[in-house]
Amino acid sequence: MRIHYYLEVDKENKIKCLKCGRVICSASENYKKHVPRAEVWPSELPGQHPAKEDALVLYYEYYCPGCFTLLDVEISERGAPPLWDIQPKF
Amino acid sequence: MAKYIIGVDTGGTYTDVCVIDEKGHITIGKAPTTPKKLEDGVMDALENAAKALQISRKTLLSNTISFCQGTTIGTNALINRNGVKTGMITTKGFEDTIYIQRAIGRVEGLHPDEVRHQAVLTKPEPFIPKRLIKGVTERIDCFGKVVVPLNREEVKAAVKELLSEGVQAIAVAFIWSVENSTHEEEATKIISEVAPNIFVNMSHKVAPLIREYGRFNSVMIDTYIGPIMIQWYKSLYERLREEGFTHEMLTAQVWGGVMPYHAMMPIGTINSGPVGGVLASKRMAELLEKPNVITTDVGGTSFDVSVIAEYEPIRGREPPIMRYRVNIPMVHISAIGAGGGTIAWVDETNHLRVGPLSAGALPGPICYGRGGTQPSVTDADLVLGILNPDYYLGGRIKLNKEASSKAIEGLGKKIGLGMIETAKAIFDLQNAHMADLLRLVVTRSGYDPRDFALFCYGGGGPTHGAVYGRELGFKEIYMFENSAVWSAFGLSSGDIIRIFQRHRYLRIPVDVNVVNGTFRELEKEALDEMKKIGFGKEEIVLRREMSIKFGRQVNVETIPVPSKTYIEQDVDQICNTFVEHYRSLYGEGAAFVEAGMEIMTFIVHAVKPAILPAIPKMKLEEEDPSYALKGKRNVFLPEVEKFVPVNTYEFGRLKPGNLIVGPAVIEAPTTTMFILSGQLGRVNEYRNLKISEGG
Amino acid sequence: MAENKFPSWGDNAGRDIGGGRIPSLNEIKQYEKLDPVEFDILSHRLYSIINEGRQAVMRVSGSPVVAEGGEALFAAYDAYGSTASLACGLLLHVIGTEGFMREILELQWDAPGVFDGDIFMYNEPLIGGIHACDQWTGTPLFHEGELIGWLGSLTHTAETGAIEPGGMPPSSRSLLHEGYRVQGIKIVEKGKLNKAALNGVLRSTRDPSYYTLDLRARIAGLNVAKQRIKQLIARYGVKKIKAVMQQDMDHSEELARAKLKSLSDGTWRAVNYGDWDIGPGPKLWKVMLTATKEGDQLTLDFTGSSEANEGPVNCMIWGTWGSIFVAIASQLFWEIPGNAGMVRPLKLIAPEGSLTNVRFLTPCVMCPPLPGRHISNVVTTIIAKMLYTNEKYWGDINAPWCTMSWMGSFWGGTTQHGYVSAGMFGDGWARGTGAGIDEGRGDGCDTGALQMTIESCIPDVEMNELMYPFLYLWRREEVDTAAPGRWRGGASVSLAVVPHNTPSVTIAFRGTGKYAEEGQSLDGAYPPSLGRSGPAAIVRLKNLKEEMAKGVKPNNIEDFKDYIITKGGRFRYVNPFEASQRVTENDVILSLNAGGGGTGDPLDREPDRVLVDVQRHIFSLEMAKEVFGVIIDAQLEAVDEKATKLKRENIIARRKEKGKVWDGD
Repeated sequence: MRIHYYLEVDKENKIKCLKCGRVICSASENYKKHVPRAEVWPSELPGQHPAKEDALVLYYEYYCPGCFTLLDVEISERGAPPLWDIQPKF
Repeated sequence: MAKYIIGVDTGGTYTDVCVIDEKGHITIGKAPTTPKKLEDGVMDALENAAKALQISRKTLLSNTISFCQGTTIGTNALINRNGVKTGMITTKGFEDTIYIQRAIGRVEGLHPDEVRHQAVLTKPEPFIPKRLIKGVTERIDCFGKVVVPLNREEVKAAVKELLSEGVQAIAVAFIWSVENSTHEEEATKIISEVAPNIFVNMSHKVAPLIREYGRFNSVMIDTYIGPIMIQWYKSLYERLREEGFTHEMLTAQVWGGVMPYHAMMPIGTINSGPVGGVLASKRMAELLEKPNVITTDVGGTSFDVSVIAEYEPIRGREPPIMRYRVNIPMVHISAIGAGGGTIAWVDETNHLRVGPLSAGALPGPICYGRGGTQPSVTDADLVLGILNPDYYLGGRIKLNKEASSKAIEGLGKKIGLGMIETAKAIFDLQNAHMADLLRLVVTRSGYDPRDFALFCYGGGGPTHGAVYGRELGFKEIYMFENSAVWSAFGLSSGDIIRIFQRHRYLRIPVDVNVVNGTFRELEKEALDEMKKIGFGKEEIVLRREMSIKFGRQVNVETIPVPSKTYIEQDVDQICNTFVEHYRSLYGEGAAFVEAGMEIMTFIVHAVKPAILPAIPKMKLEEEDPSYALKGKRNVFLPEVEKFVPVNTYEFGRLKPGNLIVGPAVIEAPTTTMFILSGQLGRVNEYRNLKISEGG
Repeated sequence: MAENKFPSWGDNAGRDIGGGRIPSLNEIKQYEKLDPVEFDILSHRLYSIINEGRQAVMRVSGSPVVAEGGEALFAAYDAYGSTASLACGLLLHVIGTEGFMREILELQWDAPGVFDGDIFMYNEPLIGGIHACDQWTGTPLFHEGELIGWLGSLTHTAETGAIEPGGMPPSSRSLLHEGYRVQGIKIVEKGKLNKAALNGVLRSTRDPSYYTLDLRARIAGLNVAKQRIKQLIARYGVKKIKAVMQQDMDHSEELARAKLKSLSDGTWRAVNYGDWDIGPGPKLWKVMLTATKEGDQLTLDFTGSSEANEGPVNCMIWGTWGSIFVAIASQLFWEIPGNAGMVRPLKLIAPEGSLTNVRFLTPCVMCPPLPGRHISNVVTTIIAKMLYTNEKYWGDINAPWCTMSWMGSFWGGTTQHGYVSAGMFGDGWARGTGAGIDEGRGDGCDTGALQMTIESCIPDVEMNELMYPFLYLWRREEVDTAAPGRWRGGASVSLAVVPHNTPSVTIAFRGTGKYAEEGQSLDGAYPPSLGRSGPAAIVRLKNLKEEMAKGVKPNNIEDFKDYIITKGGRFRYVNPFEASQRVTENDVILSLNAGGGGTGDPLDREPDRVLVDVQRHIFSLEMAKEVFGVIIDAQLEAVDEKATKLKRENIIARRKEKGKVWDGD
């Protein structure tokens, strides 16, 4: 069952990357806690963003550990735990 | 020597020719449209008509005094996106005007059900790519004052860039050019010097009204299709001349008139086909002395509605061409997908639906036997007994009733209804949709349906007209038999009309000299222009209008105003007329009089009245229609919900004066007329059928 | 939904309300079901009548807000105020009006009673509507001694006698600052205008004729629709009309539940941030949503959202419902006829005192955009994620739409025609929509809409310049506002205006995005930005008009900077909210909007598509390179495929280097 542009829950109830097939974690967990994440300040990107000294939130980028496709760019307060944004029942 | 008037409508599938002789007799010619070389189809159709008249095509054309052509070339060029490569020179900072589309472009022209599907909507693609839009430094404000002078060097550079990209035409579109056109004119002059072979167009000429999105779209479209249309008309005209035609070739224009082709506005030819139908209605309305008419045209795909008020077709404010809003005065035609080929289907929630998709004429309804697989409105009409399977289109197509029945039965199974119940449901839903649109159009126009006569034409109009006419309470329903060439007939009797407009924002109280001066200028421009086209002052009738609004409100209404030199009291009177008109349209208390009145546009219609084809007016004979009686057929009557044997008549054998008591079916080669019980059908002196309640 | 049980007289009792009898709640829910064809025809007929009512409102009002902006709602309700059929321009206004009829019934059934020909007025945000600008007028429908339903019409009126002109004062610190609030008073009693009641409003607003015009418009709509419904009853009988109202709602409920059932159960969460309250510095606040779907029920829980703000950036409960409805009706239940049935499968948990459910007298006039947009955004986000679980709906998945906006929206002063006026720049409605995915729209629609207004429409520049004392330097699709992703969001509009031909004019700013990113994207796309013309500012250029007369016309922010260096002037960067302040003919007011959200990793966007984006000034060369990893030549002719491959590999390598798995709990 698909749950994300790049992710699905497979027959073994595992969250899996649709691009590279990498199994990430059990579907009963928050995939964001099992993938690499990086801190990015909005001002690092082109366009008009809050200046770093003004910014109250930043981006956490979450990557597939297999193919390093960008799975999510989460606007978050610094140091906040990953948001459990997808919690399917199965 | 015979004198012929010819109207030609080049449709998608067929080219129709309508030849009217000096006595008013109509001869029809028809030939398949030849998409690669449209003029061939026209000549073929003329040949077909000539044959029917038992004369040569050359003889026909040599004796033709008026020839009017309506065509879909422009529309097709837009749909297929094969107009000329066009560039635009515009005010720097506003290059994205035709892309922003005031945001509304995203939903313009879509059916309300489509609009709900927000997740997938996109805007229509403009006809000029962004890289061919060059902004130049210049700026004029709302008073026409030059705030930033035109940078001539930038214009030259822009033209050179566009030339290097291979553009064949350039549209010049500056902000506020309607208030002060000097920059557009200067830029055009520069373009003509740098690139003398390029087709150049100015926005203030194409659409001299405020509101730049509509105006820029107008010049974009006019430029994109202009060269192609001009070329085609020239080719056709040359062919006609070769065969002895010596008069002006006219073309339909979408504001409800015709123009000599060499003076036409290309954008004015788009959607001009349906306008032919409205013109025909206008002509009939004048003949029948019915100043207020709602016209309904049921073709294969769509149900088109327009309003004629005081003998004038109502024009839309900011009408769209397809999904592009333009500032061209256009006869306002509302359409929904409710034609004869409209498909009946069952949706996911197991509800029966009718439309909006259609099988058109090809493959068409299942009963046509041309490969249609989905039951349509025509199939339901057939199964309900309204249509005669052996006499459809004069017997040219034999309708397969069994195939229709089977398909409708299959549909009914999905929703647990029998075959006839399903056919009845399709009929009901179709009529309900038509009635709903009709109601919407009429009330939106501000008029009461009970004050209007209803005209029904098109293949399916007379078949459903009695039902939706009764639904809305029309007292007089007219049905026309010559539906196939209705549009061509309309074109052949259109006045030559050119509408001249000038944006001039004036707040009341206004200096009467300014008003007089503006109209004087505009009328001079109109007469000069008509002279250039070939019509002297004595041939032209001028009519004046003004577009006015209230200060805090967006609704602009156009009212006719007298042709004279005004004094102050005259202007007061115009204001009173406007307030009355506004009240009648929008309701008591709708006029925000405290906000003051503002004149927005001065309008002059330059009209050269048409050489009217004679329409034979016949003597009224006896009421008894038995001469035309064909027999009886079981028809499902909605009023009693069962099959009842009903008289069928041959339209061709009816005589003026005949009175037919409903229920009845009247079969004509191009349409079938259905009269309900409780209605009376009277054949009038022009051999139209007039239906009213009674009997 | 309501705190107290309604009706207080129980579900099994009817009562006499003066003009007739209201049947019991259970009684009106019993009806003989119409067969499918008759239901379709009658349902459509009822909708046509409601639509006609709305058209009448728009035509009679003719105000830009109502007639062009489409901010008019018209609805038919059953006897107890449930919305049976509606026509609207702004999805915000829909469900929230039901509270008005409930309070009328509860408080007025006995005294003064409810009679045929009564028209009630309401604009109390605690009870319904959204905010004090939203004026609701409603009338009961009686037939042979029985209350069979109501008709209601609502318009946004941009002047309410609040502490600042324009109806939405940023300086509000209490509901008491936000204008008059009418509490269900009869403006018309048994067909006769109650002039004293009308004066209650007219003497409390700066613009009494504007109010009167919109009131007349709403009344005109009510009269037209009432007449048509009478005709409908005469034709089909009152039983069928009552039945179609209930069946409309039940039908929508059925469809909504069926759709929910076809999606997987689960819980989804989303957060949206805002960055300003009352100043002087920023304040980070958030809307937090936990959505749980179980079977055919969807629970929306806003626990975790910030506490109420001190300024008017708050929603009362009806504002929250309205903002939820914007997303639900346009993204999830788009194919379902809009009425109360559609929201029956939804349950709302909004903690009292949070900015999604502020207490009485808390300021809330900014609710529709702030935090309304945030509420719509988080709901859109969880809908998108839910829709992935059924392939049938992949075509409808959309990233959130409405994102940051930072506009010098409100102006007031003397126009070029010499009279005093005020208004709002409506250009902000031309914003990018969210992107879809492969099976759907793909890229978002540029300068297309605000999610709350399904037929978003902005005025022509020429109309604004005719009516307002301003000259536009530009209005364009702003580069780098679209969210970069495998599918990009839609770009949004930016504008620069200069006061023109006016002795005196003020401008006020409203926005977010100086300190915190607001807009979300989906599944690997970056959030959208405010573009390259910002930040929002008032730029003073010396002797601007004289320079323009010589041929100078600054067209972008770099031109401003050059101008300031060579001829003088200065930037004044504004706060997201700035109260009205005087500006002159030398001041350029810069307004920005961020674009729509995108979907998917930008590295998955085909380089040729990115080339087209750059050619269309949607993305800059820098964005193409740094975010998409696509190298394009300076003439914008072609993609350098080799360099692109290398750059994209570098970006991946950098991700590998920077990424660390979360090691907390």
